[in-house]
Amino acid sequence: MVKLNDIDLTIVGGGPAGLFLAKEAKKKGLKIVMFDREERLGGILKQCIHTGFGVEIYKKDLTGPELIEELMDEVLNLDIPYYTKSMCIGFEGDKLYFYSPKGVIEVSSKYFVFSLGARERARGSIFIEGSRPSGVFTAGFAQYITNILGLKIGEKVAILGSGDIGLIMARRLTLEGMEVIGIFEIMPYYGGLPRNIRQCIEDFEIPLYLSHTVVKIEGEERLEKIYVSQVDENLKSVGSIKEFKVDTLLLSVGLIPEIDILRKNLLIDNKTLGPIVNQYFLTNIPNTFVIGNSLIIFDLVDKAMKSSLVVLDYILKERKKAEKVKLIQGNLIRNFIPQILEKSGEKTKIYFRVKEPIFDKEVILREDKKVISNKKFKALYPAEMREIDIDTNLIDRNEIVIEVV
Amino acid sequence: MEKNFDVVVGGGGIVGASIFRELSRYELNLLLVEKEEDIASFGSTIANTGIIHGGYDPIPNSLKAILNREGKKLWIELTQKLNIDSEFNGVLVLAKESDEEKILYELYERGVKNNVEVKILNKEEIKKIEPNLKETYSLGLFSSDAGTIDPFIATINLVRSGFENQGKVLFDTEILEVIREKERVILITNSGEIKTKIFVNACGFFGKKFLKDENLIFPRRGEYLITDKNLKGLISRPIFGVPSEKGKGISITPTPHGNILLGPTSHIVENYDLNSYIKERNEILEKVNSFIDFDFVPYIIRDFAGVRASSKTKDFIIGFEDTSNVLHVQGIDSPGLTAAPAIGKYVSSLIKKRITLKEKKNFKETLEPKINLKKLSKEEIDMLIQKEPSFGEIVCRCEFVSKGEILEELKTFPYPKNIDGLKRRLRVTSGRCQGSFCTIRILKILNEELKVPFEEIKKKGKEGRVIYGEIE
Amino acid sequence: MKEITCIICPVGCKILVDGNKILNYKCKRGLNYVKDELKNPKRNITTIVKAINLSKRRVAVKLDKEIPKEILFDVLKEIKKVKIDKKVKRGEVIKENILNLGVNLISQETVE
Repeated sequence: MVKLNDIDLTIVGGGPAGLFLAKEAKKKGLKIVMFDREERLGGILKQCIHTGFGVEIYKKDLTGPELIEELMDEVLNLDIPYYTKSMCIGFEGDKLYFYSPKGVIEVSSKYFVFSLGARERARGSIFIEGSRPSGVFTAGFAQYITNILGLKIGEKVAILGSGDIGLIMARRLTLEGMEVIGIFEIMPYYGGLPRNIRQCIEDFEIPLYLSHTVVKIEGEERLEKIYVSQVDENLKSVGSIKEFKVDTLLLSVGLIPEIDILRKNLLIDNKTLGPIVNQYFLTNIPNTFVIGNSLIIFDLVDKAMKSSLVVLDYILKERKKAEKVKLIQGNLIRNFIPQILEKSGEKTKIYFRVKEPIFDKEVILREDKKVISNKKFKALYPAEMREIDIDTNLIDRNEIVIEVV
Repeated sequence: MEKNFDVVVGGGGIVGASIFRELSRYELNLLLVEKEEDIASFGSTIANTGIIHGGYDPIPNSLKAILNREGKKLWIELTQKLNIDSEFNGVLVLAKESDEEKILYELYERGVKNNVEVKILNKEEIKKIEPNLKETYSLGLFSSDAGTIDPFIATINLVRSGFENQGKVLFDTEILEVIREKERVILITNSGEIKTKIFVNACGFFGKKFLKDENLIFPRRGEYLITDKNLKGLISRPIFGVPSEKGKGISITPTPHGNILLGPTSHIVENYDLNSYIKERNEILEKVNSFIDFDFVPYIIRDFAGVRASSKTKDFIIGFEDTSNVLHVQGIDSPGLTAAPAIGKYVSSLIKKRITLKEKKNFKETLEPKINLKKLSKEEIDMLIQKEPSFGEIVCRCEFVSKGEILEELKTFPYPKNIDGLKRRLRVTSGRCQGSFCTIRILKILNEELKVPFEEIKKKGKEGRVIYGEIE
Repeated sequence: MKEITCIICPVGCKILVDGNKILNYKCKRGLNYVKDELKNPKRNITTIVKAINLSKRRVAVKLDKEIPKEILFDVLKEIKKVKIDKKVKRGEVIKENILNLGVNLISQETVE
């Protein structure tokens, strides 16, 4: 058994958030070690060969592989030790264990950070009537098959859900010679970023059907046909059913923070489906942080990376026990982090998402009727994660509401 | 391929597999014939709750009553001998109002007559063993030696055992016609003629056409929902309401692996319909919410349906045709899984009356256990990885299955033919992510280690490919 | 008035075009994008090309400059003729001056 002792910070998951935190922590002189379950570090960005990454941090519009190599160069220069093909199997006492082809690895560390990314909602979590053939895949699965393996996932493809992965896959499959017959979105508005609607869908004249969903799947061994229905404002089927002959249906119906390895002991927020954390992304498990998409689904990778630095704020400063304040979901807010604020006397950020597109409104943080922080927004889209600052010195009570007014 | 056998068993479901394994005790030229590419790949066996029933439900003295009681005893042994995942924590039937209490007492009486273990529990006793249930029940029936098994592994390991005892297996072979001759039977299949002294028709629903009166068998559809493992511990044993004319009804059943199965519905249908329907999903959720106040929806990872062959006689149909050597094993609906090993013994006792059965001296009762990381300690796993690093490479993150285990399985008869075949053997792709992580790794293992071209790898059946070819 | 979603960065500003006036842009790149988009819309291509006897089956590639949108598929056809059979570094030019457009195909990643 490989035993690693006297580590300051153990980072589980070497995607962009984990890599970014690793290099920043190392620069601050912390003794760190990093683990990833895959053969190569980089997480999901390895398969995201489109641009749009690193704009905030590197001031360049990079592709996923490019951003990962930029990060990896720094990690290698800093001599950060890492283990790949290492699957975390959880804590036993205060030690963390991994299985790897080198053997079982046991880690003793002052702090642990989990940046495990997200998993995609699969067919079971949305329920579609009909048969269960091959050919119904998640969009991220298709992205790996297409971009990394260079294989065709099908010939005639429909996409359910207009999230970014779905939009981006629509363009990728079109460029690689497959026919995308349409994108179906149950909501009356699209789920992805506006620029992806423009450059992935409109450029290629791929039809986007808003307020439409797939109601039935047909085909015994491979998908043969889908049935699509329009939905009303209650998302119930209305009107006639259209049939589309396709061999592939990609699901782009949302991501869920991947944190099951800690699930037994972790307090989970039923809005983000990730852990409940304070402003330093510290969970209820002692000395254990969760960052990146395993905390909350971020809209931009730069935000997932940069936000993780609060972990270092916590670790590098002497902390006194501070009073805890609960953040409560108010009008039109879908979810947010942190869910708990410690009255540390510092300024901090609240990250939030709204439930529906909203224009020219204000987002406030208030205790009872007293507004502690407010920010005006010209437009807020459900796909975007936005921020509002708060000064913890201004908090008197133990509950704060976040809402749109 | 040789064409002359002593006994041919048609159908590689749990019933055929049990008969096959039982008959492999004897010096016979024995063959199992399966129409699909793999055993346990279609039919009632793969849409099964996996419950080993207590035996209180069947009508006293019926075949169902006798074979349920005997089958349950045999499973307790077999799960050990053949390394079948199981949990014998009992089964609980709940009654609400006075009407239901009456049915519960009738069940109890039947259980006593059927000579199986049953006990009436009061409210406090129920609460003690199942604290998370809604306390709307007034009385319960507890069958302490009932339990659950993994029906896939059960079928696969029974066939594996029969094969290790010199039984032969043919896949992709569909019996089209049965020709009865004097003291022998000729089977016309899609891949030629097979001659046998005795033919055992355990072809499930598809074997009804070989009966004299095929209208005796009618299809009954059942739909299920299955949750991820995050609900492990919510309940400790299968929970039923009182039975009705439609059968035992919808249950909440913890599987030996830690998932929770909800279902099945029970509807008589015209066609062999394996689709899922929202109506039935709602029916299941409504029923289980009468037992327990819990929102299962966020935890559901999959839905599936099965069709079982019910008999109008309300009992199993097991026996030789008067004038031929065709032995029918038909109408095996619930408690078919429980009864299966006893059906095997019963069938061999019937065959003994027609031909001589001589026991083999070297019959192997047990199977060599395969490496299963979940059953090893960290120290054992570490030693294993030092010898063979592929056991340290986790392929399925939800079920913790290593590359080493997959490679071993690919070398073991009956070989998995597609990704679903691996799933039934090792549980890969069956977790909460439903294969979006491990399918890629499995594709790579099959392509890189076994040199199978990507486009020839099937998810399901013979046509259900994943990949359509190379991108230029 | 016409609304154009800016695709320069993930913010996706909605820039307004009123006759020959461009409104509501938040940066110079956005302004230039809309000017181009009205005259001569341009796009980059990110795709994959075959790798032969390397550690990966495919190499992710992109163009070092944008190309006119209407010849996207012609350029793609040229890109797909490329096969990579030796080590390639991130940023390395794989094919020069595609279709005489003055645009090069470069690798997104280092593949050994």
